[in-house]
Amino acid sequence: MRFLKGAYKVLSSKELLLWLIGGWVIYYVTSAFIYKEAFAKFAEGLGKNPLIQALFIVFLLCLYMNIARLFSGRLGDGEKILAFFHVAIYIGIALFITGFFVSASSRNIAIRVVGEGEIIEVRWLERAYSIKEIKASLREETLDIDEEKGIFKYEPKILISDGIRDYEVGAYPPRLVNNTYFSILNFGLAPGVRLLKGSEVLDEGYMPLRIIPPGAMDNFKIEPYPYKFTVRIAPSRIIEKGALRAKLYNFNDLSYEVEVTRGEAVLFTGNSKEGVSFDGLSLSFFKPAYWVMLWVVRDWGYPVMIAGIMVFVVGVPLKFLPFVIGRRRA
Amino acid sequence: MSPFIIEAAAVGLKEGIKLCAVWLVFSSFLGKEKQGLIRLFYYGLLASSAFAVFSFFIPPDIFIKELTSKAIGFVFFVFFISTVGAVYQSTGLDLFGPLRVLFRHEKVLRALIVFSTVLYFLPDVMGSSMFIREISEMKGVYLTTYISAAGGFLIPVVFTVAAMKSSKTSLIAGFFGIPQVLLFLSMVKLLGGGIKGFAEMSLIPSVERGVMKFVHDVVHQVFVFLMVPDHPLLRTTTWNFIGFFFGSSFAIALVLGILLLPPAIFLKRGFFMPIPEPLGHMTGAERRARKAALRAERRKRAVPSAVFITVVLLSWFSGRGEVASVLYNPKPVPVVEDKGSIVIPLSDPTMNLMDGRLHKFSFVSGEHSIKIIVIKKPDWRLAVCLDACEICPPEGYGQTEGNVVCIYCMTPIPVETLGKPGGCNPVPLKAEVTEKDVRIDVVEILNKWQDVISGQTKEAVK
Repeated sequence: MRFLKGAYKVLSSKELLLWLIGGWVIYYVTSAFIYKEAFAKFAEGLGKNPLIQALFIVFLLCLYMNIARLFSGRLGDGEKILAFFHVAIYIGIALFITGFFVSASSRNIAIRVVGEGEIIEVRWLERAYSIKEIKASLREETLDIDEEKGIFKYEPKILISDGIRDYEVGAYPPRLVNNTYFSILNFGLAPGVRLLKGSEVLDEGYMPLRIIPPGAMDNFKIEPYPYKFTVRIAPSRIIEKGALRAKLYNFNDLSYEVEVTRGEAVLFTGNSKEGVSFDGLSLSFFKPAYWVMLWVVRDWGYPVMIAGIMVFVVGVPLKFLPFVIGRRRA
Repeated sequence: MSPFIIEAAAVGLKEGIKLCAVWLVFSSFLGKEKQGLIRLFYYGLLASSAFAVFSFFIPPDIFIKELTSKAIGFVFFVFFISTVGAVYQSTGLDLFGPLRVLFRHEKVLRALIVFSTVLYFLPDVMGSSMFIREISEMKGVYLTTYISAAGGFLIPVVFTVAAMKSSKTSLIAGFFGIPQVLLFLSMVKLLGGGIKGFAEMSLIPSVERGVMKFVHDVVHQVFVFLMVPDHPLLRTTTWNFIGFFFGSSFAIALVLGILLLPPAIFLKRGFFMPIPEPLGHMTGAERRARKAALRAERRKRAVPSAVFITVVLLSWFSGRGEVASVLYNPKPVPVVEDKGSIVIPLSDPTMNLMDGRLHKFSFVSGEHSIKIIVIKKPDWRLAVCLDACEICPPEGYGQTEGNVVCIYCMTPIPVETLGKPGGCNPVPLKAEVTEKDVRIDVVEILNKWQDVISGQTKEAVK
């Protein structure tokens, strides 16, 4: 019992908390002088280094006990509610830091580039999920000067299914499905591509490219052929009004600006609608599919971090409330 | 008079002022009873000077200069965090516990004074010596440069010796306790710790860069943990909101908050904290007199804090801070191909590539308008890069104090790291720098530009 009381006295002391915070600052600054990515190293250490993890746990214990000491000290002044208002902001910070630690030390993450109809399998998932649908939510027509509006009517979404239920997943916030978070990290177009020799189809498929937003250029190769194909979405119309020049892109009727090279030699440059011919071969495009880069994360710390942010945001005005109430009573 | 000579004199003067200020304050703090300990300070200075002489024979390698610069920054940090500890100790917290006894041991105190003196002065003296040597080599005038630096150094020393002989220095003793001495040492290091001559006299820009990097890394890591999606899925307005945390305004506010917190605590204690009731049996008048004396001592000790706050704020915002918060984005100057190369003169009537400012040039190839940036790095080499990085849309870079900043994501890139590929750094270009101009192969520009505007290839999905 004496030992527990002594441990509580030490752990709840302001001095120990200051030493732990000061110690971390010294560690970080020293690390920053040696490594370029000091914080990333620290986050990595939280996940792998038992010494850093142990010290961090001691810091968290000390933090919570100091908050408890602060709360019980304020209780002596009077009302419980006011005491809680005083410490809410610190509870938010403590929860956020706890969530950060849990995330860093126990996160499982997988990134998958998938299209419609594909299956997502990750080692910790009890079951596989299929991509039933990708809702691109692109505007039918986009002007290249619509920078503030962006290219999406609303955020892209996908429908995943575990065979029993369907789940809609967007870009943010991540969707929790059976203890795993799914969210769209990136999104793009996969033009349907067919390589022909005369009427013989040599190869065909969907090519996931980063050609969104329109104007962006990407390239691909079709093995074993020695050609490089550079592609970007072609504007359907160019609008000129005085000095202003804008390009209109129609996602319902896409065409592409294509360049075909072999080594340094340029074999073809032009629009896909005119036909892409080179070296007795031809390349045609059919209706594109969409691809998404999906984040699949198992993270027990995420909800704790979100809770910490919410408590912190609520705690900021609450911190000043006792002061206002006290002045009114005076 | 040559600007190099003036710069050497200014560097010598700065080092002399730093030494004399610390000497004066430390001597006053020791007082008459402990004046014997000042010899240990002199031993520390002697050791630092010996190393400084040795540094004249070290080749001015970039690695050594970077190490010295980092050492100065680290020493500032050591003294600043000691100040924070001393502040908390003075508010009644017992940070050292039983270890306090250790600091009262004569031998420990002596070793601490010598060690602290060497730690404090050695990196600065080495750094400034290497700088003086560098500019004398550049100009080819050795003796005049060294004499100029020595002259600048000796002026404040002469005045300080005269002041100490007049014994009026004891007047300032009342303003300094241990926390105030540490705060003063931190302030001197912060305001005079630069080793790049006129380009960087103080540590303020490097402290600001360090904090910006820290904030950038923390925000980035938190966003990864919160699963916030990548740039392309965020609207410009949302990304601008996030970019606020990466900006210099936020970093300036944070750095100032951190630096000014310990002196602010001193001020609060000096002027607003209640005076404790004196213990022991005394009359009302004696009690009031004791409290008045304690109040006067607290306020006196708060004066260095007020000076620190004023000086830091003035230094920060008088030109330096204002420059740091404004992004310099010059208009590109058109250049054309000449026999397969782009040729940019080092200087002409309208510009000078060696002036340390960001220079932009635009080169038109077909329907592409490719922008190139050129900037002189602290090691006097030119960084020649595309005005674009591998990650963000090619909106280019601006310049703030000591950094180039990606206009799209507002990531600061220290100028000395330019030329290295990867991350948010501008894509480097191979360039030939002659005595008169910079030559870049057009094929090199076009190949690198092609890499920037295309992504990675993907395997076909069947």
